[in-house]
Amino acid sequence: MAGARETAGRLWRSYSVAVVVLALGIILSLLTPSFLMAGNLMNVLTNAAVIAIVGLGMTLAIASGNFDLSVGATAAFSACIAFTLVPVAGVPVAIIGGLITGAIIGLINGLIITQLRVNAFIATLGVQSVVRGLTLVYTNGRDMYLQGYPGYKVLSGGHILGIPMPVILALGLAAILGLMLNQTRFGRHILAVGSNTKTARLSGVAVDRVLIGVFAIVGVSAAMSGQIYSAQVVTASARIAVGLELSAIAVVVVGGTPLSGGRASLIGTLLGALLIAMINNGLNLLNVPVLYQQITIGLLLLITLAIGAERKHQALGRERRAA
Amino acid sequence: MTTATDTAGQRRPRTRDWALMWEKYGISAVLVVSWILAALLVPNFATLANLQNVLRTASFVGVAAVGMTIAIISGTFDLSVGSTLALAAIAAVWTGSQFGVIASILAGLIVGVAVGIINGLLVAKVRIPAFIATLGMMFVVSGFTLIVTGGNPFAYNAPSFIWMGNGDLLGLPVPFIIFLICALVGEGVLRRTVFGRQVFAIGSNAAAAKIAGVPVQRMTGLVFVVVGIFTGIAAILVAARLYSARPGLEPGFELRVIAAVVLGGTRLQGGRGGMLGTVAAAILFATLGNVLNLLHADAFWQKVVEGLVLLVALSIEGIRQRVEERMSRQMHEVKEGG
Amino acid sequence: MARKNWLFVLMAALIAATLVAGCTAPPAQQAQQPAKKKKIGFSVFDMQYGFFQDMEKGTKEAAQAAGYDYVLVDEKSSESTMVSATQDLINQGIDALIISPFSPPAMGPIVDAAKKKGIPVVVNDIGGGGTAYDVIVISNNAEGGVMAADHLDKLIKGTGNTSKKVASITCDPQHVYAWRRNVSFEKRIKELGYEVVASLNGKSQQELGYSLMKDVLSAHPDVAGVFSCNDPMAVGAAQAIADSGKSGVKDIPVVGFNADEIALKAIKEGSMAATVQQVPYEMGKMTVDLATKLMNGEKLKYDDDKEREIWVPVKLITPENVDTLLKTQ
Repeated sequence: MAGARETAGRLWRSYSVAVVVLALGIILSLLTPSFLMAGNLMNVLTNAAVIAIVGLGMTLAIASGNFDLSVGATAAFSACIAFTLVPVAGVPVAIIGGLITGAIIGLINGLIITQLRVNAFIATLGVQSVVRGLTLVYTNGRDMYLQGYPGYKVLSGGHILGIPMPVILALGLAAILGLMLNQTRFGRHILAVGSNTKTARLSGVAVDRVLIGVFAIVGVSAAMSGQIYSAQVVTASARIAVGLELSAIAVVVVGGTPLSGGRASLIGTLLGALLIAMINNGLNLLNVPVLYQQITIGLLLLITLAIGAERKHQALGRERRAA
Repeated sequence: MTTATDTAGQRRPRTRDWALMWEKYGISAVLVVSWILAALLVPNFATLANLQNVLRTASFVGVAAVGMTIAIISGTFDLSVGSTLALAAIAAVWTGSQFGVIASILAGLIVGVAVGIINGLLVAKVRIPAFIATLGMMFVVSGFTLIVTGGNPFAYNAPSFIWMGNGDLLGLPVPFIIFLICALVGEGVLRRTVFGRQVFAIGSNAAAAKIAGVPVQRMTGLVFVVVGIFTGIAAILVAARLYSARPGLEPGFELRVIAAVVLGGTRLQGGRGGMLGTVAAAILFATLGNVLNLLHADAFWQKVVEGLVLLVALSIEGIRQRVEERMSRQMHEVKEGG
Repeated sequence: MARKNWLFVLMAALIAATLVAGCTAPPAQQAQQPAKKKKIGFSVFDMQYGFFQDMEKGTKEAAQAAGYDYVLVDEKSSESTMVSATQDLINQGIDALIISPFSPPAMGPIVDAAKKKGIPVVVNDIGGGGTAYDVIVISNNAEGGVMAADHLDKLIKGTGNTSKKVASITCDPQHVYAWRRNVSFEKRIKELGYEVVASLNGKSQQELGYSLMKDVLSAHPDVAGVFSCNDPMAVGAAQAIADSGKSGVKDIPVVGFNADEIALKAIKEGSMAATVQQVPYEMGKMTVDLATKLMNGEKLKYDDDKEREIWVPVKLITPENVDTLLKTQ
């Protein structure tokens, strides 16, 4: 009997987010018929996917024991670079150029954190200010509007087998990163560094190189999200993706990846993004007054985590007593 | 903690003296130097009105940073101070306009403490990690503020109230005097009380502290209340300065507060730090913004410069660490060789 | 304890510094030559927005044309920056202050400080916060909302759509004057017999304009038209409509506000129907003109004496007249 309860507890911990997503889906479909319509579900999945992409990168950062507060700035700057390249070099080159820009900013983050020994929180905060400022200087504060290049919109509006492109990109990125985490040495090293940096270093892990790699990946994921946003509105400016970092961290945390590092739940991040997208969608469909939207999200965040934390606490207590 | 000679009886490397000096007084030294340079090079900097403006501006983030310093030393931090600031400021302004200045001060403090208590419970009792608990509270508090205010701003301009934020006493701005008093109190608590010692202990090694009998859970909860108190004071000062308050007041406040603490030399990992650095860092940030304005620096480049200054200031610590490591490695090689 | 002593030393040093500074005469205030150039200070909401960039350009060019010295500070969307940066302006010895305030309610300390020095205060758009400014130049946002409603009605009838449902994308309710646009739009459009099925806050963020519009299309597939509080969100909404296979002109007309560059381009290319133009450049010029009058001690003539407002008419921009604007960009 105790065994069954323990298993149930463990299952809850692993799948609690999925359960909440399911429950919320049922509630929303009961509250408004529009929710279950194909078009709306596609929207929810798309919105979830865009934030999930940068969330996946952030998952790695958090798993390695760090944060990246510069993803919003990276997203904006990469989008502006991509827009500059489209008329000059064509859409595919522009997209790759944007991703490379993200990678470079990530590299710089990684170098500052590992070589200059600056704490990730503050380092990325400083980089965020610098990159936003540089974006403003680069665009002269103006918005960049892309006209005559419908090819770029494939990032936001394209479909493969009826599935929107952002969703495909999110799933693809999750698959690649998942393989990397589980099957490669690099992936294992990321988790080792996140668990205990000192031990990892003593066991011969090239901690600096691992971290630089992680931040480069975060930069690329941020660039991808930024480019999708800019494709949606056909505009790039220094003002897009403000607050992206907090949303990214929120989806990672709701998804169950622990902030202390050492473990990564990519599927959790995908589900976390889906959950938050569903909440926003539900609030909009129900025309919930603007003033009530923010507090709803905050309360849901707290409740989800309180339940998760309480279960963990109980489970730990049970394990200790059983030992 | 540091002895004059190491275990082998040899003189410790000189870098360790400098390292400690830098950690404790580095930012203060940078501040003094920057003021001297600015006075010489920047037109209009060394005027009474301007310096008062700088010190005044530094005080709001500064007061909140006093509380945050204690939190960070104890190994945690609080992301909800920004939204708490807005709510407490609104409470102060509204209460003041109805019931007078004393009531406004009480209202601001009560709101700060109330949010602190909730944060403390979430982190200590429900065991949600501080980052998440305070992040969630940030949304909840700002959402709550939006609902009760309907998104509207509030104003209150009784002379005794606005004096707290705009007045001067003996040439120094009133909020700055309050800031210094808070810093002194905070420093006194850290160095002279059992609470302070326990804060350092928890920050260094929570598990060891627990074994040593420190009530870690209760202390963690109390720390958030302390943050709440100082945030409440900051909120009253901000409202007094602006003659008003609104939901969404001071966007990004929490990050600026944390940046001031970290720039001041208090490590994010916890276990070390102090108020002097926090005071100096808060003034330094205000000075930077002021200097850039007086130099008529392009607004877009100002963002770049502010970020770079933060990065450079913090890299100094990292570079120093690497230098020290290299020197101690060389010393070991010498020892083994000889 | 050593550290506390240092704290005292730092305090003492700062007190000494301020006292010394106080004893030195601030040179900026004293006239060096007989014919001193007047200095105008402009404190702007946030230079990240095209609207304010145009306003700043108009202000700067007018000030320089009038032979004044010109100093700019950027409030960077923060009220504490607004207060400290504008104080920086005052401390530099300006003769007149022009301000487009990020937070009108927080203008109290600024106006008090300016008045103490006898500096006239001209407010450009946004709001005056109930303070004792000398004059406020304000776009007629309410009129703009009505204009948008009337035009949207015309456009919807033109599409042949019989649905009477419209959507309203708002700015943050804290931006009281911009909020007026949607309030008056919604009032007028209801008078014209429409139903506002969705009134959602896009927080002036373009990406939100896009995602909100998508949600509106899901909840109300028969929505006939959209009004957005500003152009970035309008462009976002127009793109959302385009991505769902419809046109932001022929099927679900989108009307924005501001006449930002991207909106003009969108109107020209046919993805968006219209926008309501504010004239920030001209408003900038007007404020310099008003500042001159105030510095000369002239009395001003207001459109609204009680609030000391001077209204600036807004203009509807459609594909017919968009070219004239695009040429001047």
